[in-house]
Amino acid sequence: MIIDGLFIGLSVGASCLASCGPLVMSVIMKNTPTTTGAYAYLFKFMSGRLVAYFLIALLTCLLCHSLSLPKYVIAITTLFVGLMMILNAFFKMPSYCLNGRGIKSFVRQHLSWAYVSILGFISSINVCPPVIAVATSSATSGSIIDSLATFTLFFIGSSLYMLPLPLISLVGDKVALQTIGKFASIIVGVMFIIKALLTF
Amino acid sequence: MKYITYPLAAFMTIAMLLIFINMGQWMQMMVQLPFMKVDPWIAGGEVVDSVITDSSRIYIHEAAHPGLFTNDESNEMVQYDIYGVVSDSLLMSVAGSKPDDVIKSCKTSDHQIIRFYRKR
Amino acid sequence: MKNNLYSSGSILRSSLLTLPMVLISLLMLSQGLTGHLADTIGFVVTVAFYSSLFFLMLYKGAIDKWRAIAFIVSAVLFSVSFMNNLINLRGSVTYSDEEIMTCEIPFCHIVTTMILIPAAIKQTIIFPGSIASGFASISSMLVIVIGSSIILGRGFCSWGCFYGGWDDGFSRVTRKPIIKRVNAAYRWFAFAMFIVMALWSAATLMPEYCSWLCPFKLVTERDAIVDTETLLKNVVMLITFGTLVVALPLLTKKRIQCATFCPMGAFESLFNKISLFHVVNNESKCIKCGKCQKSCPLLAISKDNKPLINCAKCGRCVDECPTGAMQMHIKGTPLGKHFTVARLLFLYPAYSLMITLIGSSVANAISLILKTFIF
Repeated sequence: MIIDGLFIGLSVGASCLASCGPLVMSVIMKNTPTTTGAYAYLFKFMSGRLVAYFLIALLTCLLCHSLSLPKYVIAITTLFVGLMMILNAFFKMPSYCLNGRGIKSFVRQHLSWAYVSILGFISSINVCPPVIAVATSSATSGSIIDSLATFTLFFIGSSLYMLPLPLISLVGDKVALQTIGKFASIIVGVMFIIKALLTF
Repeated sequence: MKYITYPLAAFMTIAMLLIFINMGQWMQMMVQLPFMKVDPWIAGGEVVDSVITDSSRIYIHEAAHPGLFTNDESNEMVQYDIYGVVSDSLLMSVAGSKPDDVIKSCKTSDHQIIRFYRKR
Repeated sequence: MKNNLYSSGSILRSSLLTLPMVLISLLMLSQGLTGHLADTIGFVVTVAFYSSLFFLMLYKGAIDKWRAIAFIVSAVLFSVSFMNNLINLRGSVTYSDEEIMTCEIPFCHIVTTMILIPAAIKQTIIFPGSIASGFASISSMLVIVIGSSIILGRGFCSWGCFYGGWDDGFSRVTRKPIIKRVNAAYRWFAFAMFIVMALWSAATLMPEYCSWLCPFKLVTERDAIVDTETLLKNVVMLITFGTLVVALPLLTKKRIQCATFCPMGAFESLFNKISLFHVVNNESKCIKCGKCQKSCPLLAISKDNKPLINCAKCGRCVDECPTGAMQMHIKGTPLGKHFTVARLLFLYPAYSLMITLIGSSVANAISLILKTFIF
């Protein structure tokens, strides 16, 4: 049933929080001085996750069986996430600016959205056990709409746990928070790179 | 009013000693907390059942780290752990398994771990 | 500033104020005496050791130097006692899957940071130790950590942690630092480590810091080398101990492991917000010489000479301050008044923690050394 997606999401949301939390927290702490900005980063990350889930939903429904990614694909995506986190530590995300024209300006304006969404997408494309459970349900549904709906509900259920994360931006010392975010990005980046190398 | 924290600070020494002197009592209180009710480490899996015996409650967990004792990664068999002092007859009635299904059993001072497989 | 304790300079006052600590030592360390001569000597030497250091703190009016002696000796002898206990219990200081599966690993306070989220969300303690029995059971260590943190804040790191003495000891070997400037921003690395490890351990349901990064496994217990993974873990342990506990403290004269790496230190820092005791800078006396900032071993003083959230209340800045601007203060009391009394009031619970938590291991280690070499 479609509603199963929501229940699975609610039951495994804590695992999603624990897995994605280091990525989201590092990005938020490093780049955002305000709570509004922090929530904007969270939603950018979530948008990437949602696109990843839609892709999985479509593929499982069309192929009619649950996805199983080859090891080297998982290793490459994990390595990519690690490198993105290292980049996040050392480069400043440009803030959105309404002025300016041309390709360069367009890229600058949308870089942070693209970067964080891609991070959300790649980190979610690693097919973890809760996603397998939803994918199995989706594979047997036979309908693309049902499949997308199941994954959307799973996304909503699992994302609820992440909503408090941006509240870290309420901490008074912004300089300290940014430094912690930078260090956290480095730690997470190194961990993902090592994990990728071990997967190879 | 402004000096109330002086005697409070002096009380801190007594409080520090009370932590150690009354350790047994604090531990009893700590163990009653919900997250301390299950055994650690291996009990990362979901609790699937529980049985109350005369002396204690026994929890049956889906193992968080399956395959540690064997290399069986078959999706048909699910690994379970039981904690608590368990007799063969209780094992049969609680787990629905025969004693032959037991593949590993260890005893510690706290509990007996019996690991077995059961079909999904 | 020296002589900023209530009792300093007076032998009588110092002796009278030491008496309660002697009684505390006698009460807490006499538990479990067997009557063997070595045990009795160990008990007497330990009581005398801690009591005399306490007296010297009070008489000299300077805390950090004597605290450090107690802290360092405690850490070394704790390791001796702990490793001996393990050898008696299971024959080795290494653990394998068998000990993990039967939950026979003693619980260490650093793991507290990693068990919080799984405990809250999944109702599981993700550590292979006993809940309530054996030595260093999970419930007893949690009671000690939570209780002492509420009372002392991050003072646990300077008075209770049986690992910190290693770091502190190596940081005091050289007279002057070879690397003179340490970027103070590194103090926030420990907080990053805490956040990442707490979440990552919740994701994997394993205490990842303990499994991979903790340097103090070298002086307590470690993985038996049975495959590539355990070999790698031991190599990482040697590297982290060698750099963070030995080399960098030697070169910088800072407690690098405690200041920049330990997730427990970051966690304990949060308790500084609720602890009654804290170190403050009385700006009316401050001459902005910067001695406090240079002397702080935990990089816990800002550029404008204010103690930060990660202050471990070791007392070094208070001792070094030439004007007495750096003071121990009790929240809710007027600043600048009775700070010598405040410092004394802090000293009692802090020192009691050291004696009760580590003192018995010290006595045990002395008894063990006597039994090995003399009796």
